[in-house]
Amino acid sequence: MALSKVGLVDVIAITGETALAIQPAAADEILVNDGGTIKRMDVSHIFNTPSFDVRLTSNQTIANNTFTKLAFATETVDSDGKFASNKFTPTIAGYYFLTYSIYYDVVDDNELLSLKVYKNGSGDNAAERNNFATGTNNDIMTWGTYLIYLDTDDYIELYTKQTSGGNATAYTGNTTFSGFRVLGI
Amino acid sequence: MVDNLHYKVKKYLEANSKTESELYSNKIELQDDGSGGYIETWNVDGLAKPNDSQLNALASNATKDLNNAVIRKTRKTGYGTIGDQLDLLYKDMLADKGDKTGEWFKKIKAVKDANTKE
Repeated sequence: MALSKVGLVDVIAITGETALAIQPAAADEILVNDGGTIKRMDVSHIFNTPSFDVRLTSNQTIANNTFTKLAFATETVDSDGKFASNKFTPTIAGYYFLTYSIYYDVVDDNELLSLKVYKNGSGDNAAERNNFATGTNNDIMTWGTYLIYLDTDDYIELYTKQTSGGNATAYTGNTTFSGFRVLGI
Repeated sequence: MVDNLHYKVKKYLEANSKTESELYSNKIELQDDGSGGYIETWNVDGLAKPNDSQLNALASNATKDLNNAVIRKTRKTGYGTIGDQLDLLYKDMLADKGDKTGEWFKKIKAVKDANTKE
């Protein structure tokens, strides 16, 4: 016999109610069976937030062979207002999935372009992603994904380096940094 | 602020019997947090990390190096691909112009003349 009731909640009572046809608000609540006890829970706890997606506001000049912090001032997503001053400080402990990319058009002949995530001001070598150009003044990208644990006061930033010999430009349309909290781990 | 830290450090290395290759190893790491470049890591054997005064004293020659690096890049683009250059040379040879009268030489010279090093 299928279980139709948990305590006093009847599934018929749910199917009879008006459907919420949009994403629930963060403070909307659902009921869960927590080890035999019914509890109410804000749906924000199962949102992949805090999350962010940012871009450069203007092209940024990157000096030769210098890890340079990228100045992300345009926020296309900042779910909880946790991205500010070029850094993401989620304040909620957990694992975060990051993606990042950059494009250069002046590197060639085994010159390097690199991206590296910095955590609390220090480069995380495991989060460094490199690419090497082959031809003359290649249009070339490097990108990465990275799962990182952040506690309540950790913050992350994105740095880039290129070895073209001169200055290079990080372009607004091709320089990205985004991330979101991963649930269940 | 973007400065010319790489070439200042390069000049400092060369003035102390070291080479630019140190800059592409893990012994030196340059960083810019948005307020200008600085030396984040320095592990060069037998050579102390330079201070700002020592580096700024090399600014003029460092700028020359940077400008020449940009000129080299411009020249390389102007020369064209190795394949195209070999094709030009082959045609010069066929026309018995494997000397300064050939099209390859003229092209390379024009690029160099238009982009002179400091």
